[in-house]
Amino acid sequence: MNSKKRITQPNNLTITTTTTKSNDNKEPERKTHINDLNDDLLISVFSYLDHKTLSKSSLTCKRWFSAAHDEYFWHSANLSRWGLRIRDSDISFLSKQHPKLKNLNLTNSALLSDIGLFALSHNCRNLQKIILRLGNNHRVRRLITDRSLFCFAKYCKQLVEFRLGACDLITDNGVGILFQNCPNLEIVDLSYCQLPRIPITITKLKKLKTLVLTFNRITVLPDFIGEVGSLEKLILRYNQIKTLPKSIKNLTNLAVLELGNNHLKTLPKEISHLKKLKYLFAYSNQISEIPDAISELVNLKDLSLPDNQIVELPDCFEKLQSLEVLRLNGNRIQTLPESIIYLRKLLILELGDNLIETLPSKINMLINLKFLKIYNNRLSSLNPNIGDLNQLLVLNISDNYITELGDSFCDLKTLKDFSCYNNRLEYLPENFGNMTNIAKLDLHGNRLREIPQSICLLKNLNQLWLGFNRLIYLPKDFANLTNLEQLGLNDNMLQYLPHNFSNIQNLKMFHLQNNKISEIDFKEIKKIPKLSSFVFHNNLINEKHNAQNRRVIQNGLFNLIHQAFSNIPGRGGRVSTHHN
Amino acid sequence: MTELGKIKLVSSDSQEFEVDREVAAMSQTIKNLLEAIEDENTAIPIENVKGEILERVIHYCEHHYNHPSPKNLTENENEYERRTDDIEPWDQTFCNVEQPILFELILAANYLDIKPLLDVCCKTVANLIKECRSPEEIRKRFKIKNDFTKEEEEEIRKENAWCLDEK
Repeated sequence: MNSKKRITQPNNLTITTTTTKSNDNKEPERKTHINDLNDDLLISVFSYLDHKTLSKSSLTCKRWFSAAHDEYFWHSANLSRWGLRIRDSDISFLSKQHPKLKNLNLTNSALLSDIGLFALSHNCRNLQKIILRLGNNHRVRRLITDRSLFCFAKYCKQLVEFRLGACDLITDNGVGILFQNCPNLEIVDLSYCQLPRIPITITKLKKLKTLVLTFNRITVLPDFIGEVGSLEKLILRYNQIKTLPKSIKNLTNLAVLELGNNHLKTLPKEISHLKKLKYLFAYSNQISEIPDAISELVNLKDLSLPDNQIVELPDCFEKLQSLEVLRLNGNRIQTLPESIIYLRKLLILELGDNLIETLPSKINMLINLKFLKIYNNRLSSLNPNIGDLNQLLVLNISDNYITELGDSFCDLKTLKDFSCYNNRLEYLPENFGNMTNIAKLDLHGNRLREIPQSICLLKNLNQLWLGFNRLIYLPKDFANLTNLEQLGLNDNMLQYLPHNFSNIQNLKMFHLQNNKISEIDFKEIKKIPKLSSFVFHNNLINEKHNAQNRRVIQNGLFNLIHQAFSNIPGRGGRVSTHHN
Repeated sequence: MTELGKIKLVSSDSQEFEVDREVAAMSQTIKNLLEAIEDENTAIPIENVKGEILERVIHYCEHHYNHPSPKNLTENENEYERRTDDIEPWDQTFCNVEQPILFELILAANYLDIKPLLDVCCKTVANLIKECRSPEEIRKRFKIKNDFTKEEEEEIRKENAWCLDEK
């Protein structure tokens, strides 16, 4: 830098007079202009532009045109945000202007057809990554056929990542040619393409790591899939696969296997060879049995098999020491194997919609458990040691036959969300208020006659559902629950509202219908500023009082007092209300 | 004599500024100079930067020296696109100046090698460009002369039709 040279002889400069501003700068001042920035700086500014603004900028003057065409910008371009306006002609010009493009994201380019893709593949032969998926709109019929695949196969042999979605005109023939000619492919995504089968040329792809074939019509996962030993992710959701081939055991690098919504009846025991498997998802199949061999998957983190027909689980969970998530909801499980308690790393356990009658006696050994969902089973009681799960955040035991929670229950001090609706609780433990982190509490549809005074200590409570119980009164400090936003007290036998009700200043939704309340102090209620839905029909409010209410309503003191006689669902709080 | 730990900077129009040594060292250029000079009291000429701009640059450095921003965690070097919506409020106000000053700040930040200042000014200019809806608007905003011939312009507009929000 020239200034540096000057200063290396500092002696010339040591004597500087402490002059103040020199005002004799008389030359006419020329204002600095954006084009006074040198090329590097202009490119620095452009480096913050998206590709659309960049292209727009290139049209302002010659200097900007050449700066905006700097190679630096056109290695990778993401045009997904403007996908819907990109037509074949645009792609053909763009590819002509930027033949060195390597990565191009054309997600949502629903209007592109073979013509544009021919130009692209022909002009940009260094393409490594091309994304042609259709965001969420999979209904558009695109005019992309095997001819496009042939072009990519012919000109873009460097392709590493190829993602094409929602192209029902392509066939396994075109895909086969692509695989044969692009041996560097590592990621292939052909979702929503109606492909009937996987072409055999997939075995040429020695580097293939990710294969996504969601929403196709594949009925058979062929034997030769075992030859693609490099595979790490195999995503086959929403196909019609009935069995997995034995050769699957050769996919020893597989970490993710997604098989949801297929027609699988079993998992083959060969699955035990997939030592690196971390995620095994097989939602909504017809699996009735899990092989013991699954216990060999020592790296498995997530085993999700909801909505199958599993009756019995193998008793060998102690080996799955990496398991963090186990989802078995929506099966026909009656008993849980004892070995499940050895899953020391388990964070999430979902067992809802089964036929479970008891939990393993030592459930408290799952010390890291954060989410436990056992709704809609046949539990009649909770283990007395459940309070030892001192990491638990979410507990859902709704729709069971539980009559009491037990004394140690209130040791669950970390609990934030507790759902226990539609059970047979007659009372709550006295120390319920110990669980001060609870924000959402749903106890509707029980047989509660009263709730303990300590509930008023739940300062974080935001939603409280107590509808469809047998409550006659509420604890007197109920109004201490000042963070409550949604409160359901409908379908009880309440006779009056507790004192200072308006202290619950955050209340937005309040359901009080079907009780025995004879008087509501509307002046009190109207002090709650955010209350937008207040339902109170079917109470014992007398005519005179009612007339008064009407006056309150007519005076516009309430935006919304909902007196509709609509059918209130069980939750008693989920009625949508509208302003008139 | 300058105060202990302070140095003197002289702008191109001979205005003098006393600055904390460490504040001034946020400029890589000045930092390098300071390492080369023995005499603490040497006034350092900043030849390419006018007093008006140098004052602003020093203001920027002092603020950021006293309010170090937490290491940019959001620096998501997206492979395609860099963010421009993450300018701190103080910097936004700082950069809310007339265009000529903004460009001179860029030149100064570049000459003095103060990367965060350069980045934030470039981002600001980028945002000014992004706000324009058409090439015409960009020309108008930055007073750029259109030096394309009619034919050339027609041609390149056709070739970049997708980026124009017309109609």
